[in-house]
Amino acid sequence: MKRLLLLLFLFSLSFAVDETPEWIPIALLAVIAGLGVLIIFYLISYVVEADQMRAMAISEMWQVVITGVMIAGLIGAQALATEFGSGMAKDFGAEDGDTHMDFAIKVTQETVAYQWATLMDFTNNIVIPMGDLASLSGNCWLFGVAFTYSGCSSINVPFSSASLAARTMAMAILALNSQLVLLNLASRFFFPVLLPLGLFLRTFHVTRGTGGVLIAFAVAFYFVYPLATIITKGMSDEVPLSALGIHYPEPPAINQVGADETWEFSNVYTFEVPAECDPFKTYDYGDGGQVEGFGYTQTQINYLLNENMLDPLLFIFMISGIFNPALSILMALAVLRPLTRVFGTEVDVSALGKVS
Amino acid sequence: MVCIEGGLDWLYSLSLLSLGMTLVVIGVAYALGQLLSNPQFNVWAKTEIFQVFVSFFFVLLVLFLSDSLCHFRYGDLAGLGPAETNPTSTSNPYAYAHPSISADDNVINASGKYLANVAYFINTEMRAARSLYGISEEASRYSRTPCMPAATFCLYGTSGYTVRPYSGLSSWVQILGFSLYTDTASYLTVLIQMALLAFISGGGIMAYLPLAIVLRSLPLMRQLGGGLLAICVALFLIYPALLTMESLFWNPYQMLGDGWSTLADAADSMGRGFTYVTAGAYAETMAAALLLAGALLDIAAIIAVVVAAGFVSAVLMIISAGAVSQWTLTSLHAAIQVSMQASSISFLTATFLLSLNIIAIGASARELGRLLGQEVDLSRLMQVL
Repeated sequence: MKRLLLLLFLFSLSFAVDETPEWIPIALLAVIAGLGVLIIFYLISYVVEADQMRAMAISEMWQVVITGVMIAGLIGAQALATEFGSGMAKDFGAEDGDTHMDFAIKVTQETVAYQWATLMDFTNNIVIPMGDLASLSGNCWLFGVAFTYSGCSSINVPFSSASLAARTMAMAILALNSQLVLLNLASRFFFPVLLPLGLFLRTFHVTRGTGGVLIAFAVAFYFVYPLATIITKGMSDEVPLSALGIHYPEPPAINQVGADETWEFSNVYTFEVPAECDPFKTYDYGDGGQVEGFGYTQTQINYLLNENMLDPLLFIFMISGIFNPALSILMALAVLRPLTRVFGTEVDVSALGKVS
Repeated sequence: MVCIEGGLDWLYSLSLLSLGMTLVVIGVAYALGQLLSNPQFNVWAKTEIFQVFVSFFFVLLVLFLSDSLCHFRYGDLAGLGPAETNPTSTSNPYAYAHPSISADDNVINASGKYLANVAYFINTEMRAARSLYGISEEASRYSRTPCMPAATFCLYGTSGYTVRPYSGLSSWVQILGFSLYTDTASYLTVLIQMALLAFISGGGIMAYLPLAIVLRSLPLMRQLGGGLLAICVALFLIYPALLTMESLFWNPYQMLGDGWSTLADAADSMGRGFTYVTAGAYAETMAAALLLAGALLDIAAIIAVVVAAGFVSAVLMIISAGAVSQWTLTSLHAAIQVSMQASSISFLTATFLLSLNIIAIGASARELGRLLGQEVDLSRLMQVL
C-alpha cells in the first residue's frame, strides 16, 4: 500500500517536469518494442495452441505495463529530486539552476581544491622545511680525525608527525577524487545511458535481471549518492568547531621554501636552512630548564604541534575527506540492493561494497 | 573467432541438426504413445515439443544477436552523440588513439580496443606514479655539504654541515607507493577483462554454445544445457554490449582533460633530474673556484677570474634551469596532483565498472537460467573477479 501511494505521488509529479528528459524517448521506445514482441508471441501461442506460451505472454504484458508505470515514477522522482535536491542544495549554498548533482560535484570539487591548497601549504611550509632541519648534522674533520653529530635529529619526532599528517591528507584527497569521478560517472553515464538501457532490457523476460540491475545502479547513484554527498558535507560544515575547542588551521609560521628555489650566490657562504638549528649545540638544559640550540625553531615546532595547527587540519581532512565519502558510498550501496528487488531482480552487491 | 566471415555458419547447421534429431526422437515417442495407447507418452511428447521450439527460438535469437554484434558498426552508435564527444571523431581531442577505434569496427572489436585504451591510460598513470615516486625519493635523499669555512679556502675539508634540503619530500613517497599499488590492481583488472573478452569472442563461445545447444535439445540434459546457454548468452551478448556503452559515454582521457599531457610527460620522465640539485651544484662549484683563484692570484687576475667564473656560472645556471626536462618543486607537485586524479579515474574505470558489468552479467545469467530450466549462480565467479 505504501509503495502504491509513493508511486501515485511520483506519478502525479511526473506531470510537473518542465522539459522532457533525454532518456524518455528511448524508454518509451523500449516499451513499444516490448509490446510488439509480446503481441507476436501471443499470436504465435494461438497458432501452435500453446497455453503455456499464452500465459507467459499475458504475464509479460503486465511487466510492460509495470515498466510504463516505472517510467512515470522515475520521471516523477527526477522532478522531485530536482526540486527537493535543488532546494536542499540552496540551503547549503547552491546557486539558482544548480541541480542536486551539479551541486554535489561542485561541493566535491571545491573541497578537493581547498584540501589540495592546504596540503601544498602544509608541505611547502612545514614538512619540507622541517625535514630539511631534521636532516641537519655537523661534521668536523682535522688531520684524519672526524666526527659527525646530528644535533637536530630530535626534530625527526615532530617531522614524523607532520609527514604522517601529510600522508593522511593525501589519502583524503585520493578518496575525494574518487568521489568526484563516481559523481561524474553517475551524471554522465549511469543516469543518461544505463537508465534507458535498463528500462529497455527490463521489458523482456530474458534480460529482466540485467535491466533491473542497471536501473537500480542509475537510481542509487544519480539520486541517493549526490544527496548523501550534500547531506554529509552539510553535516560536517554545521559542526561548531570552536564549541568543540577546535579551530580552523592558521597559516603555518615556519619560513617558506620558495617553490622553485635554487641556490643563490649570496647564500653560498651561509648555510640556508629555512629555520634555525645549530647541530653543534648539544642539548644543554640550563638553570632555567630551556633547551639551547633550538631557539626560534623550538617555538615553531611548538606552534606546529599546538591545537591551532595539526589537530584542526586532521579533523577537517578526516571528516570531509575520508569519513564523508565513505558514508556517502555506504548510503548508496545500502539502497542499491533493495532497489534491485524493486526493479525485478535481486543481486549480491557485497563485491561492490568490498571494492568501494 | 566468432566474428570472422562465416564464423557462425556451422552453429546454424548444428542447431538445425539438433532440432531435427530431437524432433525425430519426440516423433518416435508420440508414435509409440499412439501405438501403445499410452497417454503419458503423448503428454511427454507435447511438452517436449514446446521445449524444443523454445530452445530453437533461443538459439536462433542468440545466433541472430551474435551475428548482429559482429556486424553492428561502432560508428553508427558513436554518431548518435555530439561530435565533440564522439570517440571516433577527428574533431574530438580525446578520441581513443591507443589504438584508435574505427567507425567500421564491430562491437566486439571496439570493446577490445576500448579496453586496450583503458589499459594504456592506466599504464601511463603507473609509469607516471613510478617516475614521480623515483624523483621524490631521489630529491629527498639529496645531501649537501658546503665548503666550510670559505674564508680559509675549505681548509677543514669536509668540516661543516651536512643537510638533506628536500628530505620532507619523503612524505610523497608513501602516497605515490599507495597510488602505484592501486594502479597496478586496476591495470591487472583491465588485463583480466581483456582476457575475458578474448575468451568469450574467440574460444569460450565456440566451445560452450554448441555444447549448450546439443544438451538443451536432449530431454534429460535440458537443465545443464539451459544453464550453459544462459551463461553463454549473458557473457557473449551482455558483456560486450556494456563495454561498448562504456566506451561511448565514459572516456577516461576526457575525464582527465588537460591533465593528460602532464601525466604523459611525467610517465616519460624516468631519469630526469631535479633543478634544485644541478643548479645548486654548479653555483657552488663556481663560487668555490672563485674564492680559490682570488686567494692565489693578484688583483688583475682576480677580476679576470671573477668575470670569467661569473660568466661560466651564469651560462651553466641558465643551461641547468633552462633544461625543460628538469623537475622543479612546483612542476613535481602539479604532476603529483594529476597523477592522483588519474589514479582515481583508473580505479573507478577498471574496477568499479568491471564490478557493475559482472553483477549485470550475473543477474542476466540467473534470469535466463531460470527461464531455461536451470538456476545459474555466478556470485562466486563475481567475487573471484
